[in-house]
Amino acid sequence: MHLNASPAAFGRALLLVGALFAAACSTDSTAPAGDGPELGRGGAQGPDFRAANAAKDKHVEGLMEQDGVEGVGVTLTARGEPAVAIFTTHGAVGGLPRALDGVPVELMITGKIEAILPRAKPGGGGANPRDEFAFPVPIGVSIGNASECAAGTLGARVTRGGAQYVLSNNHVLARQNAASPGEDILQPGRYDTACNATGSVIADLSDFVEIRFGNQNNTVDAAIAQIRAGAVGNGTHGGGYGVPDSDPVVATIGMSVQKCGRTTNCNTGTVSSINATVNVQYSGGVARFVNQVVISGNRGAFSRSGDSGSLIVTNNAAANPVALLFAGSNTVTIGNRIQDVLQALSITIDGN
Amino acid sequence: MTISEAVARYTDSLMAIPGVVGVGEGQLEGKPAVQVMVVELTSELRRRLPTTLNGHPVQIVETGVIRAQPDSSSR
Repeated sequence: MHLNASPAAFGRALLLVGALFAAACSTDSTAPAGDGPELGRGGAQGPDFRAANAAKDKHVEGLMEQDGVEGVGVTLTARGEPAVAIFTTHGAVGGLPRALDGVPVELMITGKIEAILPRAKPGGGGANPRDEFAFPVPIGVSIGNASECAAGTLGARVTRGGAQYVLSNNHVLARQNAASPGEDILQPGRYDTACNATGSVIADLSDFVEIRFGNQNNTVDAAIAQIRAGAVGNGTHGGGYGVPDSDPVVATIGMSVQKCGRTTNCNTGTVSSINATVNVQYSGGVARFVNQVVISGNRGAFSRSGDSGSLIVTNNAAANPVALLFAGSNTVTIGNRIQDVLQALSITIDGN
Repeated sequence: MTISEAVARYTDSLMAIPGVVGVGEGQLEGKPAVQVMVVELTSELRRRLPTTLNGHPVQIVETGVIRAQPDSSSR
């Protein structure tokens, strides 16, 4: 509710609250005289608010124009009398009346009243990556396969044979090997639209690298989906690093990296180990990955559930691709070497 | 033996230890180290894991279980 824009609406809301309060109190007709507020002057309906309402309606516009006044309504004084309530930003607001047209005025210090906006996502960047974006959608935002209630991240725009594709993980686009080519990819993923398939179709699944469970070595959890005309851009939203470089670099220990993802937005981390072999838990079982890059966050976790598919790039203006995020825990993030991803799917990053 | 060789040589036997979820090339106090990722650093693991491997320090990192990370209603 934007209170400063609609003082009348706020006033009406307070009237309702005030009336409910009055009605509740007036049912206590067994209260002994002198014990608490005197009620029932208005008969069975409780206190008579007509004069207070009239005074409020007549004076609200003028009052709202005064500095320090946040809202106007009706209430009951401690003695149970209907009154006009004036809500102020602080205690020293001067020039306010003590009565209006014979109706007492109650001053109530509320501080500034503000609409409650969704909390900004950690990592900053203004835009909420779980939102639905207008075409062309940026990279680093929520996507998912239309056939499941889940969400991951749109990692990058890539090219193969002259066509453009979304790059993300197999487990984000291809339902852990179960999907067929042509399946719709939605933005946002269904997990971010209350499991309804109301997001926009931005791409159709084209290809994925099979995840092999059990005692086999995997190098990448990757998939691509062919972009529908004009649906996907190649840079992050305004709070991120922009368009990545097309040339990948090799991760080194201690390298500073960054990413923009659906859950923790844009943030930085440090490469903790390379050439790592890691057992990764999927809903379908454990898969072993080799050649992995391990990253720890600089401020809290580098990634959380839903950041899967994010492109991990160098933490500088160039933003060279380093890895494709796909797994992690509360303390570490695992990425496939981006070179392994590009080679496995015969793709190139569509960047600077 | 270089750090890469040490990691290649010892990964399988380290990964066979219950509670170990990953092995990689890390760094401890500026020196190349064999990084061993564990779900939880129990006293049992402390006893079992070596402190060096072929002259390279072993860096133990407690990570918890490592999972693929979609946000999904079916965990």
